[in-house]
Amino acid sequence: MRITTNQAEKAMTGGHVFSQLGLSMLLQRLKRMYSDKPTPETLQKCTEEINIFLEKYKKIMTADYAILSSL
Amino acid sequence: MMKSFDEVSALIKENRLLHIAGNTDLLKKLPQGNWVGGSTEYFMTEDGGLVSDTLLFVNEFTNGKFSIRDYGADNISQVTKDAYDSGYSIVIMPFDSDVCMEYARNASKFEGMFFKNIVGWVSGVNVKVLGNPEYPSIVVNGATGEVHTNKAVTMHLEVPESQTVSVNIINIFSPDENSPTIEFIQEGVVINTCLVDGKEMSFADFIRQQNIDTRLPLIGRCFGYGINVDIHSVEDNEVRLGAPVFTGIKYQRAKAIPNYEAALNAPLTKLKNAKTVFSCNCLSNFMHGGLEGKKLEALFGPVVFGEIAYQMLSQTLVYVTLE
Repeated sequence: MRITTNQAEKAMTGGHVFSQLGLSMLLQRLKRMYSDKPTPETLQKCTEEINIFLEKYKKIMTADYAILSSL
Repeated sequence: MMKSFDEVSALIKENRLLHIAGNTDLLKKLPQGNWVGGSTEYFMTEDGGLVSDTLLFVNEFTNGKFSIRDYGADNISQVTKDAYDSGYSIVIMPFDSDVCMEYARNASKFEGMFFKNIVGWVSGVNVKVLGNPEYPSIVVNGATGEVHTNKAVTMHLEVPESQTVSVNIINIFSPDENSPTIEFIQEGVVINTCLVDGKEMSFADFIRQQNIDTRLPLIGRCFGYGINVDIHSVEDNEVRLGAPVFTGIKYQRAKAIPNYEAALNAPLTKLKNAKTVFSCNCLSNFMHGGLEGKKLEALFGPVVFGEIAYQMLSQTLVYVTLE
């Protein structure tokens, strides 16, 4: 359960709707971080955080991963 | 579940692992043991909304490993590090305390936040004595017997990896389609300036000029969730909020709720059989919705002065399920 930097960027900057509160709040924090410093390094860091989150909560991430992986 | 002082004392003496909410004087008299507690006299019970200074609300946990820790404003950021990788943590902090302000301002930036399941609430007192220094909001570390007015107490609970903890919220409010878009260039709970449809102005002036009903929250859009921010007070040029606002989020005024009981029960009906291990509801919902004596379908717990689902929230119902 992993996404690419391209998918992470679309997830953070689009107005998508996710079902897991923790993912939504994490994306909000990462969106602010990326907005403050929109560099490839920041995007890479944000992508890694999302992927760690997806791995940790994979049992309840099926629906949200379906959205993320389709971006 | 609501219990008498004697019943709760007996559970503590049996070494049960407990989360307790209730009247300040009762909490102070409970014996030491494996528990954490915070003050409130408002509850949602199976029999309906209740105001009581004689009964205590108790959650009992059957977990194996646990720890009880205190945190001040200087080290509350450690709460995510101390939380179990597989588990959840219940944080209780006194209303208007330094630790509460620090958490409200910065919790979303704590290392590991959202990777650990942090929930909790802000303790208070009966609103008749709120703000009276003789009746402070407290939290209690039952393990040490220490009573705090300026520290948070936390119970960290481990659950088997075969179980999944899920932190959830219920927000009965929706944005008013006639509301302008409100954005902030400052973050936190004390705000001077905002952008209304892109135009910078005093937030206090905006609230006064628009005659905004401060019983209703602002709602920030957060990837499918509405995150409420309630307005505590409007001073000359300063607005104090019950939860932080953030840059990069678009907020709108909320629509009025004609019937809080019905609005809450609509989503709660689906949760009757959920394995809920913790929940709390907001005092604003209780008071503005006239919930005393009204029955909700599920999610019984303390009615509190601020809710925590990772970060500080307001006018929201927070709950944790094990799946």
